[in-house]
Amino acid sequence: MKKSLITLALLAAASSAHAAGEAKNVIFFLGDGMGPTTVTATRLYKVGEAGKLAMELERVARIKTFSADAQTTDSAPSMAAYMTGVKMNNEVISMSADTQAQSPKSGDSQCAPNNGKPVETLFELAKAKGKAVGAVSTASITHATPAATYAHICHRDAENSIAIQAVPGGAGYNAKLGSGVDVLLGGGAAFWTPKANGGRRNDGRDLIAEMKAQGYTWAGKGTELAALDAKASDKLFGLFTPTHMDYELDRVKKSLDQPSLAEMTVKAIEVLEKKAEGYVLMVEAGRIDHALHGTNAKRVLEDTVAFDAAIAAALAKVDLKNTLIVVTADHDHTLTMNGYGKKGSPILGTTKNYDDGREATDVNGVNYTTLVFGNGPNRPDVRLPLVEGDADKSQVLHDDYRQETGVRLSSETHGGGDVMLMATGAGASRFKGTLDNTEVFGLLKAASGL
Amino acid sequence: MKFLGFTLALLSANVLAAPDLAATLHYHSQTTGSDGVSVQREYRERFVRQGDMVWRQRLVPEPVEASGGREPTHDHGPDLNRLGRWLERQQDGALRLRFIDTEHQQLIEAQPGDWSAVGFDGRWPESYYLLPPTVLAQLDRIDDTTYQRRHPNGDWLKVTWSDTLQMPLQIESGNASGRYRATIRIVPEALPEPLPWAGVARFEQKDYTDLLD
Repeated sequence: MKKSLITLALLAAASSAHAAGEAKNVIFFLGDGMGPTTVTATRLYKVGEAGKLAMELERVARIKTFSADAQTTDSAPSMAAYMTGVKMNNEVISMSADTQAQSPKSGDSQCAPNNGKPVETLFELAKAKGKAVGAVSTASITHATPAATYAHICHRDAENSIAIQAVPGGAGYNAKLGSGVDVLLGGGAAFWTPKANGGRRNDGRDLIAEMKAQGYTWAGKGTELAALDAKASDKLFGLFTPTHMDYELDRVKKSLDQPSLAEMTVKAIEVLEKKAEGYVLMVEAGRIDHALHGTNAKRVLEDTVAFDAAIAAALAKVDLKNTLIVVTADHDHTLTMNGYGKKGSPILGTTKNYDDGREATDVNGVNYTTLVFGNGPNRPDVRLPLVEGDADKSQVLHDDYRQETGVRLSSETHGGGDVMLMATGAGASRFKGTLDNTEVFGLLKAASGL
Repeated sequence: MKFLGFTLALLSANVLAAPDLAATLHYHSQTTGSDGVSVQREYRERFVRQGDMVWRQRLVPEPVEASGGREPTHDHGPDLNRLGRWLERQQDGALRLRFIDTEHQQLIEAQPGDWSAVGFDGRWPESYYLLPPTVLAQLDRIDDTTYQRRHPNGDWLKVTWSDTLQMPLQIESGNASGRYRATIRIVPEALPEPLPWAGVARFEQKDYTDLLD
């Protein structure tokens, strides 16, 4: 009888621990468009074939990314799947599966009132449990990926209407966020600024002023963010550019007064970690995707290296005994690696045969780059010999060189292949096998007891 | 003396604004692969130059336009290749690049950081003259209108240039083997009325980055 009571007590304790979740804190890193080849190319670019990136964590799964209506998803339903567990249509953000995408007008939503219903997000669940939440992105903070954490809308392009959902107390606020998203850092100030002041808002509202009035500490420049004391602030709001933040390559080369993704990540953690109940933080490297669309591999890799630096900064800062770190992507692109390149070759360069080190050539005797895209704008009528230099943008190591493509399109598309998910810390062992993107939501919930 | 002549030509070309001009640009290229297959490509663009404005747009034949063929993606905007590309040189010399989408009544601006992504190299002379005077100055002058240069590797370039229009009338190029040859023929026309950028002030203003997903 005594043994039975002990067993019951142990079972109860185990059940209680499971309900609470192993992870007090969750940091969800998302490299937008960062498919497997982008990760490999970044490794070759930064640390070489045998090296290891910070994002290469011990738990790994592969993720199916299709949306409700497309083999190849866009960022809206794929991120929303992670944040809500619901499979929805392309363009739709954190709404029920039956929601139809309806294009906005001048950034303002045109969603019909009966067009689907909001579905609960991880952020909303976390706020209901007393946790703090934050979203950080190098894209506009109203762009699809960050928007999926705090907003519900039938079309991602309605960024004016997305912004108002994050302003506590204002018309259109998403009340399920309770006291509000505690940290918002990224680009996109235009969607928070009235047209009269140079912004995009048609309703005349100055949402930055409204956020300040709601107690948010404001930063509009990198230097301002660096200077502020995170310990003195429970709510942080920073927008550093009118639309998306600059690519990492340009941010550094032009000494722009914008924070790095790592700096934003660390500052966000410092604000959120004060919450006794824990926090959920989403960090997006949003411009990896944009450089991929432009088939500009150099900026892809520089932004992915910056993403990796943000992950390294978080790993160095948190206690993995109570914090879960997940790194994944929302979808792939058409980037691939060509030929049988010699080990140690520059990944942005032309392919050198592994056996003799000579330039690999096509059927017409013209050399080619190792990185190429399945589709995109640079499909020359006639392939000419490539120069592995950076004197001008026709040379493959130049900042603005655009890799060649198979099918000519004005902008490269997403790819429909599976992406990688890597995890470490509290509750990370749950992430394994081949998972649908909607299943990740359930695992995040379970790991954090939400 | 020859060097001085080229220098003067270059200086005058840089100092003097070129006359306003409209033209249709006829592109043709032919390449023959090692498999013996020859491929020809042809397309046309309309070109307008007025003051510090340059505009050009691909001409899509009616049957092609009518049959669709547009990229069927979930794109957040139109195919830039089909839009009017409007380049403006401002008083301080800075360039401004916008795409005119007449069908959707929107004006899409590409900031300098995005120029490479939309296929603009940031060079005004290449857009304004089609062939920069600096390049013309490096060619051998054959007669009043003809210039050419043959590279040691056999590549060659031949230009028919109009001093009056400050514009090439034809640009031909090829390689030594003859497997590649291309021609751009420039046919001047009267300036259109209204100009392509007239009336765009009422269009919805967008940024290129709005098209990215």
